[in-house]
Amino acid sequence: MLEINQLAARIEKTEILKGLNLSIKPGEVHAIMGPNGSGKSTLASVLAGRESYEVTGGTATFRGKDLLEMDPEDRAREGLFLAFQYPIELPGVGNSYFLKTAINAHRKYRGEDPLDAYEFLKMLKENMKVLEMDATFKNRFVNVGFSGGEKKRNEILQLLMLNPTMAVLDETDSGLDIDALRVVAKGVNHLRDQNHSFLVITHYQRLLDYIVPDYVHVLVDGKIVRSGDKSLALELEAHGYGDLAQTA
Amino acid sequence: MNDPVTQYIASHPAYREGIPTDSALHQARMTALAQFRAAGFPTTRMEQWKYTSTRLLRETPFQHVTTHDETFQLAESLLLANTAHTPWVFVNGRRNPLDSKPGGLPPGVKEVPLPSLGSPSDSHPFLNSSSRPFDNLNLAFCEDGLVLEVQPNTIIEEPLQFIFVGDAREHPAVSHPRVTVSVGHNSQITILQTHLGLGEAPCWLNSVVQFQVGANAQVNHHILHRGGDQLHYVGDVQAHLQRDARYNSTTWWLGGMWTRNDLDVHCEEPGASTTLHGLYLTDHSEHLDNHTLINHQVPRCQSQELYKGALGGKSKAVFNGRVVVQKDAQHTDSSQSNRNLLLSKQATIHTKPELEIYADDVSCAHGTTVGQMEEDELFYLRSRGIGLRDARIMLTRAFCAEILDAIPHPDIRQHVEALVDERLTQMTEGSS
Repeated sequence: MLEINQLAARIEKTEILKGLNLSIKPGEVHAIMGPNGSGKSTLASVLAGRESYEVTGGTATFRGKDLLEMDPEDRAREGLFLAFQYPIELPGVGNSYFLKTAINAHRKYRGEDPLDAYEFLKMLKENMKVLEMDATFKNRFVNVGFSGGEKKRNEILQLLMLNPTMAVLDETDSGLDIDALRVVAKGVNHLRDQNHSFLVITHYQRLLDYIVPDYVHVLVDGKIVRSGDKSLALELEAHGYGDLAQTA
Repeated sequence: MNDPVTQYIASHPAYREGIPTDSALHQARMTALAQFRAAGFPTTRMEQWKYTSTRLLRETPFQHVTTHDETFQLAESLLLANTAHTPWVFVNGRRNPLDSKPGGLPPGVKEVPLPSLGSPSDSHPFLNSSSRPFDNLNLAFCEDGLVLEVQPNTIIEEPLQFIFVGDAREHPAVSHPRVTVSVGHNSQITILQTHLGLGEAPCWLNSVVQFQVGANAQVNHHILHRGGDQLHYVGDVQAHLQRDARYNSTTWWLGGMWTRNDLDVHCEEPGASTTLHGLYLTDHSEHLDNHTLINHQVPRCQSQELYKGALGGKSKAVFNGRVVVQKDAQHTDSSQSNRNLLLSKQATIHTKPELEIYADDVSCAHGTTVGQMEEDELFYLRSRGIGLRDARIMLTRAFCAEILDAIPHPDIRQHVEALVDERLTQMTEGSS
């Protein structure tokens, strides 16, 4: 699904990713953990195609296609989704209108007809129910006046509505209380099957109790220095990144 | 080319035919003509015309032209769906005698024939002109004019519609729609005023619309500029408010080659209030100048102003919001805001609040912003699969939402939203 080879990237003059390797197959859930400044969010931004980051080396292929060559909208239409760490507000853009436009952009790319209003509302209602979201959410402007938890939930709503094959969750758990965390995980697990892959970027092990990863990687100073299974996360929680930071 | 002022003066006698020389109308027109002659065309050396040159108006040989019947029919298509009452349609300054609808005039609305307007010593507002040259030109040359009276205690839900069309085919054409509306106390009306320029030749619509708003009466005025590649538009709107009267206007500017709007609101008695909104979407090499004046003459009046514009191509817009708070206008509550979104590197906005405050116990806020589209917002939309062009249109539409949401009348809202959406898809990107 996603093959990353020796990826190097920088923002302005600062090198952040320094040869990152990662391979994610269909149906797998990978977690990336690491100390602050290690490049976790940079990785997410580079995969999504944010222009302020410059790729200076390496490759990334998604479903066999060169990801780094694609515009952000094409990466999304190919099936990549990024749940932002800090979802921004879009005053004046209605939640429902936004979702419908995004879904239809995906459908057009695939040569499908736009979703009719009834089908869309039905799908929206079902997914909002999974995420225990109040019906009024759909009429509000995207993220405007939302609490941190509500914004993260809105990201997962978009995830469910767009149904991407590869979802990157950038510190989706930061700032969430245990209830919000539970609901977010519920949404992610709702989609989890052999056709969907997830890259969960997190600072805390706690989320991984709910979204149980197949693999855990430790990112230190722009490179993955160690990989293992879910027990690695518990080990990090107990002992911190100290040793690993030194070996980097 | 001969001096245009001289040309106009020379052509006036033809307009005087049929109007008794001892009538108030004739006297007023001659006075206006003399005032126009004395002032001439405004130049960019005048502060109020600093960013807007009248060169095109001066140098184009505009003349009065005939009107084709099919243009009146086309004007029909500009009306709101389900229009039951008679609209007032001016094509090249002439009104169509056949523009009646089955509903006729709404109850409580009376049309006053021009010849019956006052005596020379007791002038009707229609016969008054300000010091502005184009107001004088309008009064001197207006042909069919319209004077409406809304009786007191009359609440009319359905919008009254004014349509001003300029149709210039073989020759550059100028016309001067002139309208005065007196609204009796406690009455409420909504007006949808639409302008359109047609034809391949340059066209100049020079309009004056005045309101006398009686005590506790309300006027909701929507001014819809639907454009015209060759349209030069000069619009003079004046509202005089009595005690507790309310005048709310929204200027929707969706096209036109060159436009100058002067919108003046005079709060003449306590408790009057006014809300002025504007939305302008400029593109190509269009030029739009919105000048407003809110004149607080007495205590305890309120005014609010919000003009928002998205500028594309190489267009140029001017916003000049003047608020005068006279010495006696204590407890004035006024706020003004102009917000601009530059869609291209070559678009320009000149924005200036002009506050003249002579009273000492008032609240007057003002603010201006000029910005570009937020990269973060664009990226967010693109990361969800929405293409760059569509994302820009969505964000521009979101920028317009505040003004659209403020329309109380659902038919007008639907009508205007559709036109705004159409305009947004047509606008060019520019090189941003």
